[in-house]
Amino acid sequence: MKKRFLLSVMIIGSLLLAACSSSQSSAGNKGNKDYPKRPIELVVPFGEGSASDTFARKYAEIMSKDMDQPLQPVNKDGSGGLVGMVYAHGQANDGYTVLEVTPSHVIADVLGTGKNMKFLEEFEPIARIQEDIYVLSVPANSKIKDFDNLVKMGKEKEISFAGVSPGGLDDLTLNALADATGMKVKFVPYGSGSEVKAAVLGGEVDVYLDKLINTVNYIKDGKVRPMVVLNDKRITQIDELKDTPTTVEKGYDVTIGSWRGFVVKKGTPQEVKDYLLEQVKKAYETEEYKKFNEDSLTNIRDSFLEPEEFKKAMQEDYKVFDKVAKQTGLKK
Amino acid sequence: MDFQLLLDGLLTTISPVNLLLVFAGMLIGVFFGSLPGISSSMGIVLMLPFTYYMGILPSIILLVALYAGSSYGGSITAILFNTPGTPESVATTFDGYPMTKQGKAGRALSLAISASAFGGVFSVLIMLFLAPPLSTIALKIQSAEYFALTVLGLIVIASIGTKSPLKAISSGLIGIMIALIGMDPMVGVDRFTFGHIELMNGLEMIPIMIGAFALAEVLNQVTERHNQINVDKKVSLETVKLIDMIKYKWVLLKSAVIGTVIGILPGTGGSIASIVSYGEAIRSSKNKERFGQGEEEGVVAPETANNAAAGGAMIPTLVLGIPGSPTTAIILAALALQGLQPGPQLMSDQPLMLYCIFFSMLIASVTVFIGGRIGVKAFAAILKLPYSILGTLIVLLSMVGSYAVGNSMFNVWIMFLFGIIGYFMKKYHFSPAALILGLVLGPMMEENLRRQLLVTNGDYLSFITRPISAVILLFAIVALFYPVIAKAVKNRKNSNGDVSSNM
Repeated sequence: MKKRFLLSVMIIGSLLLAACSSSQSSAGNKGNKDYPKRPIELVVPFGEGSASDTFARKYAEIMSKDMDQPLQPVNKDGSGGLVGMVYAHGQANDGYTVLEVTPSHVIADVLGTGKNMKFLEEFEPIARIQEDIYVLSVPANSKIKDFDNLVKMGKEKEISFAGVSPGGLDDLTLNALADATGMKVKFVPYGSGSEVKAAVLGGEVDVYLDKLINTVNYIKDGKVRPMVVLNDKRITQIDELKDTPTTVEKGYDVTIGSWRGFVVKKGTPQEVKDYLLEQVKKAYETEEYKKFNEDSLTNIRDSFLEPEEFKKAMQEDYKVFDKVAKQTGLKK
Repeated sequence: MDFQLLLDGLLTTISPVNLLLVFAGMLIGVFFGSLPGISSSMGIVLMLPFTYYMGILPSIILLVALYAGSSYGGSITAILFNTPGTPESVATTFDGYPMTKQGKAGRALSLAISASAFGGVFSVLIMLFLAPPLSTIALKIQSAEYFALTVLGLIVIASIGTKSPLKAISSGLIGIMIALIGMDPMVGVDRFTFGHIELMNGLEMIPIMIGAFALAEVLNQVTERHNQINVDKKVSLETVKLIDMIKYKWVLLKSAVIGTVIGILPGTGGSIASIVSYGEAIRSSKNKERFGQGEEEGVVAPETANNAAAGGAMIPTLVLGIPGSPTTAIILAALALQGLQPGPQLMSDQPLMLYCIFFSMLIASVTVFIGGRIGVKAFAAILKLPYSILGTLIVLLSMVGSYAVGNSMFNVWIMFLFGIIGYFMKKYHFSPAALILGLVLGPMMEENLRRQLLVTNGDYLSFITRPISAVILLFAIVALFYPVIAKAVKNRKNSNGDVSSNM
């Protein structure tokens, strides 16, 4: 319910902003002749080769084509995105440092892992660009038949789920779903996405929770069977997922997904932010990005959000994560 | 096996531009690999922007050649300066550097090259012929087996600081304790971070490794003023003849198998492969006491294994879309940037790719072998530089390498700190190598032990009821008690005459 409301706010909001953005951006363009004078650093707070890294590199490459100065991705990996955040916070708020963010940063605020640095207060959003959808699946030879069957079994005995980082997005998403359905779950953390996949295909855990893009090829190959999609609408774009129910359809309002966006440090001049937003939008409209977005199956939800909406969406996410974290005892 | 595709793959790979990419990738790999701190994965990241416009096959050809080259490059600095260029070559320093000290640098380098080439060729052949069945078997390796594997790896600690096993074991324990710093892998609470965000991911292994080996050695050279390497000025550039390698055929074969198999497992890689095969070489050797003193098998075993691991890691990457090592994870990301989605469909979507990877890695291995044998003399000649220049250069490289790991000064300070710690450890005959082993294997052991217990609801017996895990643990126990058993067997042998014992 809340999510649906949010979605409509997002759509209406982005329509409204799209209507007045043309005047905004042309005004911004005039006032910033001296920005950017040197390359802009895009801080990628995750390791090389991760999904967030791949996205940031591609997006920086596309954006740079239309800018006087390039946007250069720099990896500052560690502590679930916090090292990169702390680094970006340590730089001047002149717009030469842009930070890529994901739900991990909101979760850090919820759990207080960032210590006295509050992400939502210290950074200002540029735009949310991409959103991933979660899919729950089981190994092909699993006894679990479908989602209803899984929920039924989950009420009788504990179901083990594989994911990465305890207290992270996988963990909270799963617990939100468990809470809504009344399943008893056991989160089994692995060091990396590849170890999760190996554990699932090898049958060490009962259920596999992963992003659509990571799951879909295993579904096509018959290695795993999809149980439920964490979304409001069915995914009709992919044949193999046409018949997979969604959480909302089953009556559970859990549609948490992973998103990626750009932010800058608080106090960055407005014209700089306008310039960046304009360039982000231009890149979003290119055929090259559309193809990339389609290839990575992140085009299913309408994910682009302008600063205000992005901020609201993050605040909504905060509430959702806060609730789950309190229920599961991750947060006291 | 499709011979038409094999032929197409060969023709694609040896087309002039692609062949040039193989050579370029190999050279860049050797170069990056030899720089401490620049691992193969970082080398590939640095090359990524160049691949954007290349197309799928040329970029993969370049990247896998780089991967193959870097496993060898790491051993050059490991042997010459006690500075492992990559984590995979830590085990190479154990006997490689003592050989250099004895003036046998040229021989050590050519042993490393020949072993590297053998490991590389072996594993790509396995990749070509056995990839699908092997990746299915790899999935049987789960938490229990990983735990057993780390136990086997840690047993090596007892055999490396030969002077005092007790000091070696305590060094290993210090390594494990350092690895405890950071976020708990199972429940996500902070451990020993003292509220510092930098410490939440734990300490980076590479700066510690560079500090404890490279910087500590420089400090050691400077303070001891032995200058054994340079005093006599006659660094032997004698290389090893190909025929000599036949002497090591069993070590080569065993290490190649170990390397390939461990390479296949996701979450492991060349570093563990080289440690385990080093341990196996000690176990099966008749001259155990010579390991760590410049034993040639001690160079051959880890070098074969870490190169074989590179080919092995490609297997699950291609067949299942599960990267077998951090480096292959980045190769997959490079493919994703080209619009190709990793996953089990990769081989059917890109039938030519497997063959191109095969030929690229094969050609890279063979050229490393040929080019390397010529280059050995040039590399070894670096040792003729006065130590005042050489030492400064090593310190400089160590700083750059540590900074490059996370683009942060913090790691440079860590490197300096462990340089000092490593110096004193060496002085008082503790073992920096054991410390690194503890650091590499400790977290893996902890994570897999606890995960297995979580999955099985605390069933300790599950480690021995799973057959593969039980067999590996049995090997570990045999390795641990081997000295005792060997003594007993020897005694019996002495009394029985010529009963041959074959462990």
